[in-house]
Amino acid sequence: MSSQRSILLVEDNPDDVDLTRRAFQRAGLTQPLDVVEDGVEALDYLFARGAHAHRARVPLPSLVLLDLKLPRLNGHEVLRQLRADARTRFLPVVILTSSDEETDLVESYSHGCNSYVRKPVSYTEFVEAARQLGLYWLSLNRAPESGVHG
Amino acid sequence: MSSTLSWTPATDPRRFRHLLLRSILLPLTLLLLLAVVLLGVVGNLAQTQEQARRSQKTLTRVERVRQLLIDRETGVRGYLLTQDPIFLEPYQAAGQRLPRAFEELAQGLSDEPRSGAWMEELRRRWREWERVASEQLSLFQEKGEWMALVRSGAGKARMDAIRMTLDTIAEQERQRANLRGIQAERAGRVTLIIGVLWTLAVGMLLAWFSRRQLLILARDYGASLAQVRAQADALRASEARLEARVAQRTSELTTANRELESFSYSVSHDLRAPLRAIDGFAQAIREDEGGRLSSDGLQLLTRLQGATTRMGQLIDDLLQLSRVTRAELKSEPVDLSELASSVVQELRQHEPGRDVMFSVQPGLTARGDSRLLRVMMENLLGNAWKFTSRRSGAHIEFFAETANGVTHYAVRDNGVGFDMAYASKLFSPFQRLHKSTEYPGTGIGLATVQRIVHRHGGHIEAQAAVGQGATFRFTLQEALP
Repeated sequence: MSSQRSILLVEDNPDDVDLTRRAFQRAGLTQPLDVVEDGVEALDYLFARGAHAHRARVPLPSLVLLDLKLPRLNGHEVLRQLRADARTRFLPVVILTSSDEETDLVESYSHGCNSYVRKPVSYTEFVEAARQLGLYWLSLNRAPESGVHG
Repeated sequence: MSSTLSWTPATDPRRFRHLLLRSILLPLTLLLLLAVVLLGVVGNLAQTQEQARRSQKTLTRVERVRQLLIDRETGVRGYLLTQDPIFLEPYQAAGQRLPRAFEELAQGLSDEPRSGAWMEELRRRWREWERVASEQLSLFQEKGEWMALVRSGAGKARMDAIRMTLDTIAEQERQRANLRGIQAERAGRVTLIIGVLWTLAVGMLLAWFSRRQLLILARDYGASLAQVRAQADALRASEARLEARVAQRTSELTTANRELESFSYSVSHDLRAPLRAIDGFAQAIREDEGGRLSSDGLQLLTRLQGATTRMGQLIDDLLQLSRVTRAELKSEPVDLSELASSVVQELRQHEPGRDVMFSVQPGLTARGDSRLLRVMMENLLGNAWKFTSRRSGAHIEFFAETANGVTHYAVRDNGVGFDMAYASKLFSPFQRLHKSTEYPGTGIGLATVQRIVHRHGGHIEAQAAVGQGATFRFTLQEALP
C-alpha cells in the first residue's frame, strides 16, 4: 500500500549511506531510499522547501532514518521541529546512530522518536537490523495518513 | 611562595628567668644583711642586759659587805655597853663571813679597772677598823680605859671611811649601769631607724623592680600579641589563597574532565563508523567477489573482520569505563544475589555448552546504583566464567563475609588464577595477565569494576594462585546518601 513511498535516510557519512543501501537491498527492501546529508536539508526535504520545493505534491516518506551527529542541525533538533509541525507530527522516525549514551536515548524519546537503534559495527548484524527495521516499520506498523502534501 | 608558621615568644624564657632572679635576689640579699645587723644589735642588747644584771649583783654584794660591817660594829658596841657576851655573837659571825663577802665583791668588780684600788683601800680601812675594835675589846677585858678609846672616835672614823668607800663603789657601779643602759638605748634607737630606712629602701627597690619587670612583660606581651595576630592574618590569607587555588584547580580539572569526556565520547563514536565501513566493505567483497578469491584471500578477509569486531568491543568497553566515571550515582536497594543469578543465566544462554556449577549465597542486598552494580557483576562473573573455560568441574561462587563489622562480598572461581606478582596491574585498563588467544578480552573489565566499587565508597582486592583459581573481594559503603 505504501510501495511508492520512499524511505528518507539522514546520514552524512557516504560509507554508512552505501552500507545502509546495500543492507536494505540484501534485506529485500524495495522502497526507494532518499538520502540527505545534514539536518537543514532533511527539514527542507520534509517540508518541501528550498532545493526540495518540488516535493510539495509528493507524499511524505514512509520512514525517516535519522542520525544524531549531523552537520549544521543535529538529529535532536530535526526531530524536535518535525514533532512541532502538524504535518510531520506522526511521521515514523527511527534514530539510527552510533551513540549508546543514556542522555541521547532519553532526549530522543522525549522529542518523540518512534524507535532507537544503535548501528552495530559488525556488518552482518547491521544487515539483520536493517531487515528487521524494514519488516516492522514498512510492513507491520500502521501510521496515520497525516501530513500528506497537497 | 611558602610562609613558615613558627611563633617565637618576644620574651626569651632565659632572659625572663634572669630578670626574675635579679629582681628577687637583690632585695633578698639586702633583707638578709638587715637580718644580720639586727641579730648583732639583739646580741648587743642581750650583753647589755647581762651587764645590768651583773651591776645589780655587785650592788647587792656591796650592801652585804656594808651589812656585815654594821653587824660587826654594832656587836662590839653592844658588848661594850651591856657587857653581855651575847652581843659578841653577831660580831664574830660577821667576822667569819666578811672575808668571803670581800672576795665575792672583788669578783663582781673584776671587769672594772679601778676595782683593784678600791678593794685594796677597802681592805686596808677594814683592817684599821679591826685593829681599833680589837684594841677596844682588849682594853675592856683588861679593865683598861676603853671608854677613852671609844670617845676618841677612832673606830667611828674608820667605819665612816669604809662606808664612804663602799658608797663610792656603789655610786660608780650605778653610774656604769646607767651609762650602759643609755648606750644600749641609743644603739637600739639607731638600729631601729636604720632598719626602718633599710626596709623602706628594700621595699622601694622591690617595687621598682616589679614595675620594671611588669613594663617589660607588658611590652613583650604586646609584641607577642602583635606577632600572633600577624601570623593569624597570614594564616587566614594563606588559607584564602589556598582555597582560591583549590577552587581554580577544581574548575580547571572539571573543565579538563569535561573536555576529556566529550573527546573520548566523540572519538569512540566516530571510531565506530570507519570500523563499520571496513567490516561492511570486507563483507561486500566476500559476497560479491568471494568466488574469485583464493582461500588465503578469504582467510585474510576473515582476519580483517575479526580485527574490526575486536576493536568495536574495545571501543564499547572504553565507552562503558568512561560512563562508569561520569554517570550520576543512584542509591537504591539492590539484591546482589538476584543480580548474580541473572548474570549467570545470561552467561549460560550465551554459551549453553559450558558445564559450570554456580553457588550463590541468597539474600545479599546492598544500597547502590543497580545499573553500575550490574556492570560490575557482569565483569566479575564474566571473568570467572572466562577463566574456568578450560577446566572441567568449574565452580563459581558468590558469597559474603563479615570482618571487623564490614561486609565483604566475594566472587570465587577455581579457574586458571594468576600470579600475585602481577596483581598490581590487575585493575589498570588494557593490562592483561593472559594471552588474548587463550582468553579473549580487552583488559578494561576489571578497571571498570574497580571504578564502580570506588564510586560506591568501597575497595576491591584479588587473591589468586596460578592454577588454583581467583577470589575477588569487595566492599560497598552501605549508607550512600
